[in-house]
Amino acid sequence: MSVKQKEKPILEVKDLVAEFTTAAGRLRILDGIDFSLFPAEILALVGETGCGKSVTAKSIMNLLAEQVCKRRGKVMMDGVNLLDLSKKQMRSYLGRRISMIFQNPIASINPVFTLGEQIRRLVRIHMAGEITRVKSELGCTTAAAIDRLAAANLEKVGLTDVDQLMRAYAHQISGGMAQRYRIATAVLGNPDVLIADEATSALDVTVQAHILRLLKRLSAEKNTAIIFITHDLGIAAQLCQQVAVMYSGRIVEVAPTAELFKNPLHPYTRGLLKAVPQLSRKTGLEHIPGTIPDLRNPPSGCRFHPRCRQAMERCRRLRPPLVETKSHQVCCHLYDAGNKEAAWAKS
Amino acid sequence: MLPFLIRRLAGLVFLLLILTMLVFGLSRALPGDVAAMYVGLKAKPEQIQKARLELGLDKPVHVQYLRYMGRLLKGDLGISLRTHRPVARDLKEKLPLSLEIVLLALLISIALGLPMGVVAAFKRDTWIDSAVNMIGSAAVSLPIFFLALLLQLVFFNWLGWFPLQGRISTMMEFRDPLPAVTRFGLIDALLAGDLEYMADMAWHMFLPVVSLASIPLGLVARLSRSSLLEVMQADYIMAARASGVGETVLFFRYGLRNALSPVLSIMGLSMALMLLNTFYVEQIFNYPGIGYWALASIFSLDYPVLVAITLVLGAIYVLSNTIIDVLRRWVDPRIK
Ligand SMILES: Nc1ncnc2c1ncn2[C@@H]1O[C@H](COP(=O)(O)OP(=O)(O)OP(=O)(O)O)[C@@H](O)[C@H]1O
Ligand code: SF4
Ligand SMILES: [Mg+2]
Repeated sequence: MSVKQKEKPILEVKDLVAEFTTAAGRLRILDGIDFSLFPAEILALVGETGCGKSVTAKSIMNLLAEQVCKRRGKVMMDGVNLLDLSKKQMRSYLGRRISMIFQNPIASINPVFTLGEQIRRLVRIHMAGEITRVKSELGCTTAAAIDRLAAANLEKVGLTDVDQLMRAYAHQISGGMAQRYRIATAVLGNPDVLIADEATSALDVTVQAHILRLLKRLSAEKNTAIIFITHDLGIAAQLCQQVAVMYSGRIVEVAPTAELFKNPLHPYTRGLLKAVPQLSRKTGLEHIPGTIPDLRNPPSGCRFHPRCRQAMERCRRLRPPLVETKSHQVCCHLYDAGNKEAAWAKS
Repeated sequence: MLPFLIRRLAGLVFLLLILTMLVFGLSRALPGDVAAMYVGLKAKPEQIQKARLELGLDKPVHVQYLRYMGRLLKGDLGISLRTHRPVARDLKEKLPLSLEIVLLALLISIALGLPMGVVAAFKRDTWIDSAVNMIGSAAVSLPIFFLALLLQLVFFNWLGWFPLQGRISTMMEFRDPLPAVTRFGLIDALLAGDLEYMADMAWHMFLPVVSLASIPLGLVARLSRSSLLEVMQADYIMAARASGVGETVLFFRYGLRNALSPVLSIMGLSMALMLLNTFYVEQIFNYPGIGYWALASIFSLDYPVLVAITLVLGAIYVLSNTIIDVLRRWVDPRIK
């Protein structure tokens, strides 16, 4: 991490808060998210279902309607806070600087237009320069140049038979093909940051491996930083340099992958690692007693305290600050320098 | 697309066949002796017996049905008990009159309702949205006879902008009739180059058409709004937005096409509703179409006419739903 710290982060999220207005009242889904992403880094964001991973991603991308979700805090890119941007201003970032792929690839392709129609539109939006170049090089029409570029982009992600594919609709292709297609469309504008929200969870294992390799290659070739959201600690370990662990709307621990697995600091992370590596959606975490907090009425202080074996008196009262240790960032009173009670736990 | 069309066409034929069976069954199940009614109330028993043989009522049911189908295919719908004219001839005259106002109303309800719903969704939670919502709710909830009378009160009694009733002005009735090319008055007048005639008819049709269009317009406006708002939450819209597609394209192209399918479905329902509503509207506006005819036939228990009208309205409903299925398939390739 020390090397990285000298580098400037490409994306910096500071104290990101998101509140949903629902029938049940105001829900603080994100309770102050902090993390930084460096160029070409692959960061895993892991956590139980409902902890707010997708909301984090959509908040960063400014994809949530203001009426439903109020956000505060900072999402800094090139010194600009994305949260301050209007929908119009945001357009110069979406797809170009920061892009996203979703869990269900088929559902994220428009079902009533052909794949070709959709990718050609993105080519027109993002590749104006290349279109003129191809046109003058080949002396072809704009339409032909767009077609060519669209096909080339699809081939780049390992799709074959692209002419036929471009005439197909979403419901006619497999999940793996759909996810490759989505990756092609998401990175067509050469973004610096790609958020992959459970991009492989809906796919079967072999296809999963292909997609992971593709993402890794992309990141290496184009210097794209990736936020890889997953339930699967195994995948996180394989793919990512850094792992951020999320619990109930906060990132409770961030560390380089090997370091985190070897020496987890946060009690929640420790519980996670003791549990099966695959964070099962159904069974939850067998090694951590209790259930995820009810967001209508979240626990005071540290939201993990009702489940934490090491909880102290102050955990009920005070929200733990983010503490930097040698190689970790951790959000727990045990590592709070001002907290004498906690000194014993440091190791 | 082709296999789909063939399947739909086969389905259509099948449904029409079922419809004739139902209507045939209905005509046999109606109270009263058809033969007695055919020859009139004062007929003697021998005359009734003769009529029964003449009408083939002594034969087994399936033979009667086959004969009925045979006549139907030849375009023979029987003789009106009231006027003793062939039902088919009256139908040919009256059906186009009603279809004309119904189709115009359908056209208006799409042409106005769809843009209203789309704009309301685009300008969600603004005064435009509330205005559309109010108009839509009012249009759907006003009973049609009430609306028709209200329109007469305002536009005839108070403002005097539109005629009270009828299909053409009395003056026009003395002219030579238009050549019946399409049997749709407006089109025939246009084809004959008689713009005066056309304008007069349009002027008379205006209030009936507005009355008929009201409910479908409200339905289309509200449904297109809600359908579009729902579609705009879909993953594929968010994904396209995340890849840099602009809001206008997202809304008016990527969103709208997905939102159309339910709107088309409601058109089929609207068609059925409007055909029934011609019963009120044509009565109130004294408009000599199929609805007016149907009511008159109900009151005089003119069974052959009622049976024919039931058959025709059913057939139109089945046919329009088939057309709508084809359109839905055209906007949404997933439909099997
Ligand atoms: N539009 C919304 N309105 C109200 N609450 C929402 C909305 N979207 C998400 N939430 C709530 O926010 C919380 C976090 O949701 P989120 O989808 O981010 O979870 P997640 O960590 O991505 O879970 P999963 O692993 O299941 O995808 C959940 O409790 C969810 O109910
Ligand atoms: S802050 Fe307290 S309750 Fe929360 S994880 Fe640390 S020790 Fe447990
Ligand atoms: Mg999620």
